[in-house]
Amino acid sequence: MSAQNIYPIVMPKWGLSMTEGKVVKWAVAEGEKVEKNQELLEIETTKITNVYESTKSGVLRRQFAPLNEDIPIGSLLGVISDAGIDDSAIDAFIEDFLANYVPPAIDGEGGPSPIAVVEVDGRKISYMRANEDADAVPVLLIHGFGGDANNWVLNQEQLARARAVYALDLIGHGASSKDVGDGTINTIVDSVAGFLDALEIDQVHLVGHSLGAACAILLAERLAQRAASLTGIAPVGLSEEVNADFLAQYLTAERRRPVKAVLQMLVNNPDLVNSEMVEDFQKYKRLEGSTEAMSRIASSVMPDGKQQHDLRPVLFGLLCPRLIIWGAQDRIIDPSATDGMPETIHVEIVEGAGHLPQLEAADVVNALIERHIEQIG
Amino acid sequence: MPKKSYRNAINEAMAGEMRRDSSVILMGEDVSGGTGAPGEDDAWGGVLGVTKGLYSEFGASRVLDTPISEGGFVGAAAGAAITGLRPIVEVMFVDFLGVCLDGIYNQAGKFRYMFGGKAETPLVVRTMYGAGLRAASQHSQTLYSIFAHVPGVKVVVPSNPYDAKGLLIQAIRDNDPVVFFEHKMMYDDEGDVPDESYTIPFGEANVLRDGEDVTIVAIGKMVHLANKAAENLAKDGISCTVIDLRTLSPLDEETILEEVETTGRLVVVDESHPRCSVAADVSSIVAEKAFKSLKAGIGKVTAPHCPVPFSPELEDLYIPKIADVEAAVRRTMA
Repeated sequence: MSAQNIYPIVMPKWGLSMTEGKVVKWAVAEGEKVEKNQELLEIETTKITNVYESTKSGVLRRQFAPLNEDIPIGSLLGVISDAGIDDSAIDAFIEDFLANYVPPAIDGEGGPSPIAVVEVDGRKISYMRANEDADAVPVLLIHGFGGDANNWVLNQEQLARARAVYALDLIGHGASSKDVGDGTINTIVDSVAGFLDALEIDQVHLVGHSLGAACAILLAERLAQRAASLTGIAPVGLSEEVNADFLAQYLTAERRRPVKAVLQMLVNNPDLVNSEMVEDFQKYKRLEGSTEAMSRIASSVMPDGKQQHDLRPVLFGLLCPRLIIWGAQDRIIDPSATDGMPETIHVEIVEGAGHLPQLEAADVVNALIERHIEQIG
Repeated sequence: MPKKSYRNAINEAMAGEMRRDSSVILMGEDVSGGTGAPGEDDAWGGVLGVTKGLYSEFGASRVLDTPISEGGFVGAAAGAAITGLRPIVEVMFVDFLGVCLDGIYNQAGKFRYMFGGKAETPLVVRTMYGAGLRAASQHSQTLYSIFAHVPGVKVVVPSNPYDAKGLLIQAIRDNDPVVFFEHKMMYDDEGDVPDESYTIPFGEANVLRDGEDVTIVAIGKMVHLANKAAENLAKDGISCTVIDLRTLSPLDEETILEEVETTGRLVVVDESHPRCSVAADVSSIVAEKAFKSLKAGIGKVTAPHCPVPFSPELEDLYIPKIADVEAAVRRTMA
């Protein structure tokens, strides 16, 4: 038997800021058969808890990593092999892996920080960058209402294999300035356009989620030829309703339990919302000016759960290739908003995902975006 | 998010509030920072460097060095608070608060009540507590329960830099007297602290960990022991919820009871002496209001009922340990 039929399972790196994760549980017992893409284990990071799918088919030979301990990315979690390989070969493989394992560089030692700040019209815009030196047309990721650049934790690096990928914090959000001016969508789009100019980005693939997708649609119209493609994930602006209960609770929830409940409305599988996600949202809401910024945007863009902008004519009139992705179980904006789209717009409904398919079905969404972008170049 | 020390987080909260509101003043022993070489101001930034830079920025009219007479200057601060200022008064060690209790519990803590709600006393008393600095019995105590006992006085015990900044800003903006406890062994602890201003509401405990078997309630520096113990116990399949109380008055009874109702077991970790302590108080609340949820007797991990020893070996023995917390949790599971 050759050692090529023994495969390590290592702690994945989900997102730019991830340095370690915890194995929360195994879905497969030692000695059991496992298929490629089968759920193998569950990993908790500071941003999200997510399922890890096997990249190989075979037999799970070892559950090597202890449960609930912080484990650096790249460390051995377990071993899969073809059937019929001796235990001694597995042990030798593990010994060899550990002998050659180099722990990853810790924060600050691994080159430039992925987080940077640029000033646009007197406002601070914080952003994360991946593969900045690549030559291909870059991607800009624009998060939704109340979110931040971390919403792309499972997408940014994955999409950055061949090109630079930027994820910004919109004004009023994350670590960017909390001054949103009049809070209208045009003010937000102005600042995103200013961000592209400040970074001297000419051609760009726009990828937006929810409110960020509405921004992307308006921005694509403004950028005209500079917009290489548009991907809208559950965009605001294509239907009339937004879940008004969600909006109200999103704005007012402060304590842990209500915050958790409202974040769970965003996803199909409520277990994805871990306590760090809840705490991050509480921390954001405590920042001076953040709640006011959110209220101002909400009352301008979607007062009482009624969307104020009909962006369908804008979307339909765009010249760049367009992809719309929606979670089938979206409880915030109903996927029926995709009804009646012209055939020139590619629509994909993702099963098993709610309003955050880029987190909940990251692999599917990444593949869709990549295919959409790669056919343009 | 930028990393900052507990010391810098507290300093940033004071500096930010002094910039924002000119009625905020700071007073206490050596808060102006101490004199260095001739003509050098703010050489030390206070005994442990917490007020560094404030004298240079805000000057002698807002950063007041006081004589070594806690009874006098705490009383003066209470008077200043009721007449329109927002004083932050630093009492170097909580052990010294004995000589100025009247100003806090009989004056500041009673004004709102005795003047029929018409008086407000926005006073913050910042003070150091806790053992570990080899500072002996009169500079090492953990005396928050004395203040939590008195209605009208709020008691805040932050366990990390993020909470320290948000809770201190809340304390300064609060219209009632607040005693703010800083553990002297935590000033160099670092954590993520936003540059912006933010407040953490009082009476809202922080649940750091969700578990199924045992709820550990901890205060201040003990939160780190509780977390570490929970991490170790998880390896043996014992899953713990960890609650950081953050404020002892008001107390977030709701969160404590909810979590104990989920796990059915309680361990309280408190650096104070065991008698008449917050640990005793939390245990009594749970025994009274969640008795039917309890699957085991309540566990308490505290310092012993004796003064903090000066002998380093004995002081180390005196302070609760991670292993003590683990053992207490295991006893509830036995």
